[in-house]
Amino acid sequence: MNASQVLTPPFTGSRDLSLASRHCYGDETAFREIHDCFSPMVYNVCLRMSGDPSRAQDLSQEVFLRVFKGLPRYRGNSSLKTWIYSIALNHCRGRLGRRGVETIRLDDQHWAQGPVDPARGPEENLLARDGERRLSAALLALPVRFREAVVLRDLEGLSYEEIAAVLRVRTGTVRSRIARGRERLRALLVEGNR
Amino acid sequence: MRSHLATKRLSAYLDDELPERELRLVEAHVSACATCRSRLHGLRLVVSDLHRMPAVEPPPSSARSVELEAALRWGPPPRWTHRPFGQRGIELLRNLIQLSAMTAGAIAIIAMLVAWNAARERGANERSPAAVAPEQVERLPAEDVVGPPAPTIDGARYRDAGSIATTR
Repeated sequence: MNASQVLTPPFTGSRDLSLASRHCYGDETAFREIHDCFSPMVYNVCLRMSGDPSRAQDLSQEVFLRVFKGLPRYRGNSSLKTWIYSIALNHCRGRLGRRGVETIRLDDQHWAQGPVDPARGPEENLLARDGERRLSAALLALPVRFREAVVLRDLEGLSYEEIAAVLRVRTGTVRSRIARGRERLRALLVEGNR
Repeated sequence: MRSHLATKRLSAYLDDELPERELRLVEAHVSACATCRSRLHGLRLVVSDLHRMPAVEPPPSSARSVELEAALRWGPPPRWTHRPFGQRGIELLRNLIQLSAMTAGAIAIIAMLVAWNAARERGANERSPAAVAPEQVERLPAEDVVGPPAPTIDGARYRDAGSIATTR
């Protein structure tokens, strides 16, 4: 049975610590469980932060290397999910620089190959993909601190408190960054439509 | 003309992150202010579009590849070892004993150094008589002293001299 079928993310409390300690005591299955459970989450964050699928794959691999190395230092002060998000965003910030993205790939084939909704017609699907592509491009044009907050809130569905724990800032700062990020996104999308 | 609502407040309203009282205030303001209503609508569209964005399926990767990469970079990972019940206390006691032994040893070494230093200073003082205090000099017997004999005090002579003086 696949480990991701057994575990239901997010792990909480003692389960997180138990996984970390199992890994530290040499149980190889513990890290596999963590990897299988959190790899979609880490990959998506890396993708939204870098805007490049192949780069996101490399970043994701590096994030799990850091998780693997850092697990003996995990003390359970926050959930494993928050801890891994924190590592992922720190890593992306470090690797992608201040701007947080190397190139904005407006015409990237990846965005044109989004999932197809069978309930919609081909034209609707095309329009939806175009909308996603424009939204992704606008997201990549945001400053890193706003992008992080918007991605964590609107794409990953974290609460304000969880985002504050991941970014190590106050809840008021989170609220402000999300608002400013959304406002800029709106402005960018309005500009794009002109 | 009353002021418009801050974006921060409108955004928190969309996330249902406002306290009840503020929520009511925002609702009352938005129903009366067309500008804020339009801004709220714009933000709501952005948020709903973001929520509709699908999560991307990651390309297949395995934890094994991460483990191999980690082993290549840093060697085998450090592992914790199981410690039976009570071993922690014994380890603590052992550490305390080791610490006290080290402290006692350090004190002994310092005491020896101080004693050695004091003995050395005493030896140096004995070699230089000028530095010896007069009261510490041992008085030699009179017959051992070389040179002219010390004048003896003749008590009778003084007595006589006194009697002469008084008779004058």
